[in-house]
Amino acid sequence: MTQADLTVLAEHLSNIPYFAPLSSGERHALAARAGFYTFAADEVIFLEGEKHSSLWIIEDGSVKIAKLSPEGSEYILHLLGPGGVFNDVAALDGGPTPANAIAMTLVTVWSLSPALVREVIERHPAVAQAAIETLTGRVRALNRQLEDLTLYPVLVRLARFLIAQAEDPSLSGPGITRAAIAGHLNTTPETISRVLAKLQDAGAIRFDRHRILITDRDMLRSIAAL
Amino acid sequence: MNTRWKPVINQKLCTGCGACIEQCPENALGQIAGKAIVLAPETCTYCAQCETLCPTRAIALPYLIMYAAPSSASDSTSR
Repeated sequence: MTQADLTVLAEHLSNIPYFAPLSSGERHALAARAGFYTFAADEVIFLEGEKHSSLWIIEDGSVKIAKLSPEGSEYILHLLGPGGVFNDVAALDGGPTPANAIAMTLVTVWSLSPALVREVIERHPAVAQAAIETLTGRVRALNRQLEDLTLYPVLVRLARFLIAQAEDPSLSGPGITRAAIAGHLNTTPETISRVLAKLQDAGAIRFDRHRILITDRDMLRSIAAL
Repeated sequence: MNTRWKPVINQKLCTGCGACIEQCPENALGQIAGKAIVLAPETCTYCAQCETLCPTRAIALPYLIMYAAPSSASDSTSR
């Protein structure tokens, strides 16, 4: 790994809540012990239930964290872009991977071994605190997802999803497809197309070639019941 | 035209049936080694016909979701 690579990772680490409390020198030392990997689009990074407890950090590209039903339909728990962190649950408790991680585009990722993560947490209480806050944030996000899936129709779920994406562009990284949106909202791509058309007819959004532009925030928030 | 944004064709799922190539109104698609590819991304208008009709769901159009600029100059908005 070159010095430039280490600097890139050290910069990424400074933006990740887990490692933000570390000094620049400590982040550099951490980066020097990280692995660097590249995955092609649709390539599996790891599967659910594997004994694989590294912490992964996305440098570039998009990754989906997904579950498969026994019938083979996919539910996307998280969509992650550059700077996104995944497999922290397994990295912290040493258990099996909780879901599948699959590259959605060409992806470059860094990997920190569980021993390294544990070592940093033991040495820095501020990192332990940041890890707790990140994990509780995930619990809250999963609660919201559960609420959305059980209580709201696709129209509301999609409106909420569009707002979340617009407010954090890193979530969709180099773009998001209707199939991925459908996988995240537990519906079909055809339904997503139909509901997007309905939102466009209402004037809440507009298609501009590869952009989905939110043209009326207030209307979309109202549809999203926010 | 930003040619980075174009239909993505999963070569493993593509059967080379040619339906997308036949239907593309802009002739943006072609075939190489029995698989569909985007030959002319600059002509693609993102009509999504290829994505809709692909029988194996091998084609997907990535979108960028963003707020429109407050004025009518929203078309100039970029990443």
